[in-house]
Amino acid sequence: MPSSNELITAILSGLGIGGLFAVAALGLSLVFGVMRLINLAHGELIVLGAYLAFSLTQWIGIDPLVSILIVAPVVALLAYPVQRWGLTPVMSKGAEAPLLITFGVSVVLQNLFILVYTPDVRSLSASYSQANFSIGSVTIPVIYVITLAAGIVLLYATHLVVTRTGFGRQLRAGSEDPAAAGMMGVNVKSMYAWTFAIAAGSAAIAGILVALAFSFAPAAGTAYLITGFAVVVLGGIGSIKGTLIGGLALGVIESIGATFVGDGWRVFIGCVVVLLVLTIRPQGLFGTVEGN
Amino acid sequence: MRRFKHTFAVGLAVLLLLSVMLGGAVLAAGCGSDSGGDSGGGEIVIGVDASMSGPLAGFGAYEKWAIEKAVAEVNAAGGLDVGGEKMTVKTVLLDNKSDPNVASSNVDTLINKEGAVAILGPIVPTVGNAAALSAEKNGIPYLETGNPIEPFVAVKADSGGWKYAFNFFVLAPPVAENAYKFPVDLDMKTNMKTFISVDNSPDGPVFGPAAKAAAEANGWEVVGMETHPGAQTEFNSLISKMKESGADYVYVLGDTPTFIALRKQMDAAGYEPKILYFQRGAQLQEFADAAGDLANGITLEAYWLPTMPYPGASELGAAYEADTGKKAGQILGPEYAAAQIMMQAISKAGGTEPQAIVDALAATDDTFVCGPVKFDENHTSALNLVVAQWQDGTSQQIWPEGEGAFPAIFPMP
Repeated sequence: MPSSNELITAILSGLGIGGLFAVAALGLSLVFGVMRLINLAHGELIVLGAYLAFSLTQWIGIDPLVSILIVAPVVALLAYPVQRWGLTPVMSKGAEAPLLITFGVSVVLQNLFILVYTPDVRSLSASYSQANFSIGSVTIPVIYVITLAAGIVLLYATHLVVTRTGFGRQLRAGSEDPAAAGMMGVNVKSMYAWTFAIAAGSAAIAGILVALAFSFAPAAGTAYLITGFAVVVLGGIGSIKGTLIGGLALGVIESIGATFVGDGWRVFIGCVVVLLVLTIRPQGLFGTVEGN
Repeated sequence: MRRFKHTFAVGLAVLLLLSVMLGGAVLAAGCGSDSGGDSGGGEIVIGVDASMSGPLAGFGAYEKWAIEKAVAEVNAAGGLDVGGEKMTVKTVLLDNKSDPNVASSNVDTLINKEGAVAILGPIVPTVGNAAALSAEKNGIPYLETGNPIEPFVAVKADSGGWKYAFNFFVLAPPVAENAYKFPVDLDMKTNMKTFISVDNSPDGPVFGPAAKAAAEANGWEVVGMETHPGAQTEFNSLISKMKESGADYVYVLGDTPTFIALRKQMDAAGYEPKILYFQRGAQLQEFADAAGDLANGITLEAYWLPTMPYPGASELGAAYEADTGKKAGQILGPEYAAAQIMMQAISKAGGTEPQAIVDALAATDDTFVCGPVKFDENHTSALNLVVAQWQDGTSQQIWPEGEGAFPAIFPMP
């Protein structure tokens, strides 16, 4: 039986990792929610963010968190044409073609990482990535406070953009009925491309946080793609609030599960909980049932 | 519809072309060939199945360099003497992407398409055992290192043992024995409590019990025993248990990404055991590069260092550093020796008949750059071991004390 200290530590670290899960899943949720597109290159966009930040810290000694200001827009701008001229033209013709294209992008990026950066495992370091503080006898890593804060701020900001701005209204209109939105003057193709770009930018932010907290390598994206899917499904497809709650819930559940039955069962427990939630609520915690 | 088909076809074609080009470029970067001389005679093809990408890629880079160097030296000396004829040795390397299925199919390709008469296998049991089984199925001589002996033997323990595959590396009990003996020998003052965590790879069930037995035999109290998934990067629950256990000595078996994440999180959680022993994944230079100062003081098993008193060891380490600008990794010595052993066996066999090469491999009894190699009835040979420690970015021997050994950092900084 774990001690109270172990349990509190598990919950706090679970919230921290959950915040990271939520940021990692945000882009997937946006792209799927708006375009019904499964972006198989999402994990590689996360790793791309980590590598670009790694390059910036090596070349100009910039702080990894500050590098977000450069890396996220750069990745977003790189992603824009992929959607605008690669995916949009084939999206109305079924799910297979865009799925294959994102798979191709994923393969290309993985090989590019190996060519440019070698297959070596890398990591980003900063004073705060190893710092900690204590509340009573519980020690809390600063990086987990950062990942939790990043999750809440980023997802809340996205929620505000989607619900309170003109772009958000266009986004929702384009998501619900692209044809009608187009007739009302919404440039759906451009809106899709900007959504994809924003999703890629958020993936890049997740990559920098992953690199600060853990490590990364050319093939590391797959694990975050799978975790992202679990979070999106758990929280409810297309729900920003659900993505945040789903991420935090998955992080805490895995962490507490690992504390009770051992780290070897961490991922298994997370999967079981996702399956249970889907059995009871197939639309996820905050998803809505689509009309017949 | 026509426009869609055109766009789709062009898009897909471009992406596939790019994938093939990039994949080809990566593969080409990982492919060896005959080099260093022209014997003017025939050609012998040795297949190399290596992890050039994926989580085990750090090992593959050393494997490629070491094998190519050994082969280039033979070719530069006029070629390999096979039945009185000097033959050029050609290596064909395929990347298994750290995937056992690819490792297995690579061996098929190397034998059936590339005409390999022998295979040098990949490092770590997950891919090594898969490749060995494929060579066994094809009836072609196979040699690997970097795969602990127990998991290798266990694969064929119930089916008559290996007939074509050979392995020389480390045995779990001596690794574990050394891990718990050196602190006592070096008079490191601890509370004699240890926490053990192993990953769920084929190494885990072997090294976990071996570490526990060795700890208890050397007077340590095992206050925690855990298993963690190989691909895991979040360890706060595990670190919490380590802290609660009060252990001064933490022993972990895992891969490089695991250790980088674990070490960073231990530091972030304010947990500093007096001794931290990372087995397997901490031996790569990329671990020390990525962990930076946090690597300082971490102890690890060492089966080969350029400072070891074996013929050609220091020269091999110097050649690697001069050629690549990087520090020599532990697997370099055994991989260089593996290529030498295989070429020696082909030469002694006097031809490419598989059973003759297998018989010659089985008769190997010599001292190489990694020490003595002599195969037993299980087709295995154990390397000698020391304990090393990361000190300012270099892996240095700290035990046994004596010539070539450095003073240990204790406790962990």
